[in-house]
Amino acid sequence: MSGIRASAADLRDGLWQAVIEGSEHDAVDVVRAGSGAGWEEEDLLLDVVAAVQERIGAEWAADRITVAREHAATAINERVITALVHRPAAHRTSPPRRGRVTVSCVDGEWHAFPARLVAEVLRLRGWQVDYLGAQTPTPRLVAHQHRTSSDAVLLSGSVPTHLPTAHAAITACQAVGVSVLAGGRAFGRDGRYARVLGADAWASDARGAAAVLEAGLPRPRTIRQAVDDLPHLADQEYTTVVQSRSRLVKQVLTELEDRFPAMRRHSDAQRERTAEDLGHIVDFLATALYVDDAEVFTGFLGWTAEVLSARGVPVHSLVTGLAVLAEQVHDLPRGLRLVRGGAAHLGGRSAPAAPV
Amino acid sequence: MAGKGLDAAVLTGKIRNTLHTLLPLASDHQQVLGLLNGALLTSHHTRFATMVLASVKRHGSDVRLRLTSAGHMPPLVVRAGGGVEEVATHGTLVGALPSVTARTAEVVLGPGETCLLYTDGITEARGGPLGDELFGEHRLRRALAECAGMPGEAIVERVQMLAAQWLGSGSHDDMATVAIGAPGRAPSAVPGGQV
Repeated sequence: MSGIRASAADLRDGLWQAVIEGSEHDAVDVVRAGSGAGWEEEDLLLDVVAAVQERIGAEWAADRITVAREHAATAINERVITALVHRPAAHRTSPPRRGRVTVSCVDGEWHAFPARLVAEVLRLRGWQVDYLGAQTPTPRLVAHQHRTSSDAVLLSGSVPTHLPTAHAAITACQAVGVSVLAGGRAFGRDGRYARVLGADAWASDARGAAAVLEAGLPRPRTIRQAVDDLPHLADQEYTTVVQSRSRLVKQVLTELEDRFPAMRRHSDAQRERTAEDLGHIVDFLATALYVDDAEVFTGFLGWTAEVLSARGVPVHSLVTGLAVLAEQVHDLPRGLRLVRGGAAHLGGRSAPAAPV
Repeated sequence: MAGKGLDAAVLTGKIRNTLHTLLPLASDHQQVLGLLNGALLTSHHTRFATMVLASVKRHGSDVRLRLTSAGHMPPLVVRAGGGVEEVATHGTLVGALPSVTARTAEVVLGPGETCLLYTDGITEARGGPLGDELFGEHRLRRALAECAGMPGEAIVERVQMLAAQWLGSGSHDDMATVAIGAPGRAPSAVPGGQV
């Protein structure tokens, strides 16, 4: 390594500038220059490209860039990965040949970037990787295992509401004898939901995933049913909330409009936005019921409160919505506890505010 | 497609083959549609199809398009300034009537502008937070208005994502989107797709 190569911070700044301006060429130039100056491809992918991608998400949450910018920047960052890994690398030492693995997103998961990074890092380390990309239907993932007999499936999830679907994918892969390594923000900071859902392993990042695979992942031994992992599902609260999602959203919306006449003057677009927010709240409530963990719900509410505050929407509107939702789920003991806990969590983090 | 399953797949294959043969005539979309219509009518299919023909030509930093809709949703153009325009092409579907009438429209895309072709599975996705609303053209247009300057693949992904999320777990018709874009500032990229 040369002593004068650009620091990770410099490369990150350069790449950030390029992706945010939508300049694919400049973006590719930044990482190529890094590569030419002695940076390893894996380090460029993880310490530069991944770090910039994380910043893109954070800037959107803070309302410093628009959703369109976010998508455009992500698309360019994807092209940067492609340019980096498809480049003929004269100096690239050929890695030891390893086994074959599948990298896939959970069905319904659109955030493919983390999975793509993992796939490329594993390729660089000598694995034969079948990258199935975003929102892979679980039957297709399982069919792929029948055809390829992977050593492992690496399942990526970013949004926690896909955890029930992830659970189905994990048990289905294990049922055909393939171990599952789970990763991504959906599975919790410490991977707790990966354990709850019976994944064979969890890794916090691409290097961690590579280390788990290199250490060797045993084949799954027993075949389980969803309810074996999650006995609390027997109370049917999760199923009830999922099946009455639209009704719950409608009821809460109507109730809010009855109580706060000002809301009746909202435009259709505003009303739809409120309905969408309520829909997300119900989805996260259902997920928290599924994994029986309040943090899924409070974590989402905390994040939403930050996103709303950044856009000048008062947090107490969220608390009011929860109060109405609590009335609608009064006959679901676990659900009611979660909703009340969520409201208390928000109440603790926001200053007292005037009513709507 | 106006149907699903094996028959629809066979019909799509036949249309694709026929269009491939007719490619040398692509300078006249209406002639192509007329000949395709004849080929479909003389077969024993009782099916029909809708489509958009697009001829794409790079002209400096612009992309010139000729677009002809045969019974299909008119394409939408996302302008650099955030305006969303419906392309003024319309026509009858192919494979059903003795003749096809269609109007071809010409569109010039400046750098960073995109033309989106989509199937009605997108606009007719039923769901949303209240569970029973159509996604509709107004939501598609509103989404596209936020997509000004985005690369074609990012627009396609965003539209697919919004429609899929709108749909939730509901069933749906084919949801296909194709973006044809003029590259932004960078000189190397090629137009994003072609039908």
